Amino acid sequence: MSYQSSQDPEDRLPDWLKALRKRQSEEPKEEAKPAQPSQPPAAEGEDTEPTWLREIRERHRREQPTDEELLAEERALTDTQPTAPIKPLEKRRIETPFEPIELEKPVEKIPEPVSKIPDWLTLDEHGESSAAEETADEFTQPEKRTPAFADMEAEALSPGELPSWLQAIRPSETFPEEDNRSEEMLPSSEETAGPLAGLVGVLPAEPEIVQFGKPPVFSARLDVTESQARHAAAFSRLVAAEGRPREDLGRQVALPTRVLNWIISAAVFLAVLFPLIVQSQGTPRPEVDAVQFAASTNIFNAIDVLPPNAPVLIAFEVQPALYGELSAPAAAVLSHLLDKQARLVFISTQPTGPALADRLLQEHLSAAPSVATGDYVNLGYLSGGMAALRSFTSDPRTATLSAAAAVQNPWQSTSLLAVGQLRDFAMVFVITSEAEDGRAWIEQAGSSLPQGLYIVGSTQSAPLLKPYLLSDPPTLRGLVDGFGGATFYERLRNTDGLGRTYWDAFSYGLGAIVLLILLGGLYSRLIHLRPEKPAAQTEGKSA
Amino acid sequence: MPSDLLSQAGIVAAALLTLITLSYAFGDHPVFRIVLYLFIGIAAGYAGAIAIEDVILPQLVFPVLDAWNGVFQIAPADLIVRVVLSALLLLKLSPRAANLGNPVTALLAGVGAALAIGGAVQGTILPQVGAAVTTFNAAQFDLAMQGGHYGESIQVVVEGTILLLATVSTLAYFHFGATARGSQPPLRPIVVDGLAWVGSIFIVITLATLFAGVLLAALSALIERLSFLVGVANMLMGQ
Repeated sequence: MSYQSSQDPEDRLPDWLKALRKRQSEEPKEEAKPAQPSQPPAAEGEDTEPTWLREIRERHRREQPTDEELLAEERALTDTQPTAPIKPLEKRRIETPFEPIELEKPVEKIPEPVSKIPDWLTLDEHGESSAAEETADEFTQPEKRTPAFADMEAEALSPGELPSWLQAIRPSETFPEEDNRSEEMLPSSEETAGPLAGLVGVLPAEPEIVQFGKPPVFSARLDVTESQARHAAAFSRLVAAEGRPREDLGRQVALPTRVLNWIISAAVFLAVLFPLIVQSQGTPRPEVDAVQFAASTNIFNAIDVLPPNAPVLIAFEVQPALYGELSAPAAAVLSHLLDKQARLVFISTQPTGPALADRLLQEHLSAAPSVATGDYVNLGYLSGGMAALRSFTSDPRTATLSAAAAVQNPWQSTSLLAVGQLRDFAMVFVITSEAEDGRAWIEQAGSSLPQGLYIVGSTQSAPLLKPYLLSDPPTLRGLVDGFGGATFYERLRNTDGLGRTYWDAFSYGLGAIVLLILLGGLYSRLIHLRPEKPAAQTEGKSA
Repeated sequence: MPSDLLSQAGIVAAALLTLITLSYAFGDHPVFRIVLYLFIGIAAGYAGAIAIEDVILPQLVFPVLDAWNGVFQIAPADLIVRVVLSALLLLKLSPRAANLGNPVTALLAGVGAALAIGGAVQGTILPQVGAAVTTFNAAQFDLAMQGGHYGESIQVVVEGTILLLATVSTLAYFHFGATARGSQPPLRPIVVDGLAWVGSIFIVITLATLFAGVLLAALSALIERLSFLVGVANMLMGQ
């Protein structure tokens, strides 16, 4: 059997259930209603809020300024702060030639579930977010240029009331008026940096010199004149020519000139070689002339009165290239010293000096007893040039210390026992091939030697050393130079040595050279007597 | 005897090198270049060996080694100065630390310049000025006149006059001061110009004398070398 009732089944529900159904059917309708913008959503739960939270909310509302208060405050600050919105950081950044470094990525806004935020916090956030949205809207709007000295609205500020005494002393009529031209003189561009960024009509916060920017690009093309280009080309050729090896000039000498060179060389060789081969000694030696050879005579006289075993210092400043020339006069003087039984002490400021001194003794004076027995002292090489020479002059014992001296202290030998200073030497000789070495000894040691200095020099150094013979006071007492001086010295001693051996060859060679010079001068004179070729023809041939 | 053979071999080698060098008179050739480079290398090497053996070892290395062993040949302060200055000078080899060696170089240059200037003034300039001042030796002139040696007295006057003229005219030659005369180019005074012309003669004589000295020195060296070659030839031929 079916049972169908005519009544609504809802009617048969109990009362409590009906009341529940009714409330459930009414609640979705209330939720579907749009929220009133004027009502903050947080106000919905005020009934269920605790007391303490409600007190905080009320206090917060009291502390929040009203719109009128905010407007008044903003107007009061218009003279010091720009009303225009502050530009974003990206727009205010100083333009630099460098790429900006992004330190950190912008934090993306994470949506928060509003439902979980308390009502009172939701209220504040809503208000702030609204302000942020308004600020963002202002940023998107075109920028407004805000004058730095914007006139304040007269109605915004109430005129001050001055006291009567202040009005009485106020110079109202004589007060200078404001110069309106200042605004015209101010720059019209907008300030882009510093705390005044965004303002117009302000003095620049930064001088122009510190503003960054890309450097100006200059053109690399030189604007040169024709003359400058010609000079540059000549300089380029000059530099390029330095890198190329020089051509052998000897190959470019014309054949007649080469033949002439051969003839001259052969003539000199034959003139010198013939007396040496035949060992000719027929050429007369220089006559003993005390006036003409006064300097050599002084040396002879000084050595001749030298007591036996007298220490004699010999500075052997000889270059190897000129050893051959100096060997003759040096051998003549040293032979005289050895005959007088002088104790020879050698020293040299040239690295090759000590070895050449030993060679000279062993090659030409080995017959002397002191040389044969090695009874002479070679102090060795005195390094340091002029400074070492000065040191040696001041204190010889501390200045000289060479490898040869280090093996056995030469100052303990019998030759140097009585020598403490330079003046303790009986004589000081300088055998030099260069005038500079002789002059160094004269200048550094001449004043320390009351007995003076004696020099055996080369022919090329003699012209520069002879003036010291005439100086006042005399710093050079004697000079023997070259083969001529050696021959004359041997003549003084009535002996034959290297000077005599070389004298004929020297005479013949010198005669040949003089003859060649005369012939050459005559040939040159004849050449110049010929008419010169036209210049244009010569240039054409050279080109 | 090995030593005699070695000595004779050295003599023959020296003779060969001398002949090759003298052959330059007839033109340049590669063998002469080789000998030239050989001489340069030997000279540099010998100078370096002398510097090490006679200077660096006895004056720096040996004293340091002795001091290391507790034996002081020289005063410690002197040794420290030598080592420090040598080390600073050695830093000149490094481009980065070369500045540290500048004080030592400055010391060397300064001491050398001071000695050169002081020596030149004391040993050359003052004595030469003194000699020039006493050119006219009045005492000798009077002595010669009183003794009736008129020739010597004239000689004193002539020598003094020549020396004075040579000194003044040579100095005038190197006087380059000139004054402008209107539109004409600057010219020296006439007196100075005339003295300069005379001075140029003395300068030419001086340079010719120096050149003659160099020529005679070369001739002397040639004679010595040719004499050596003749002696070697005689030795080889058994004479």
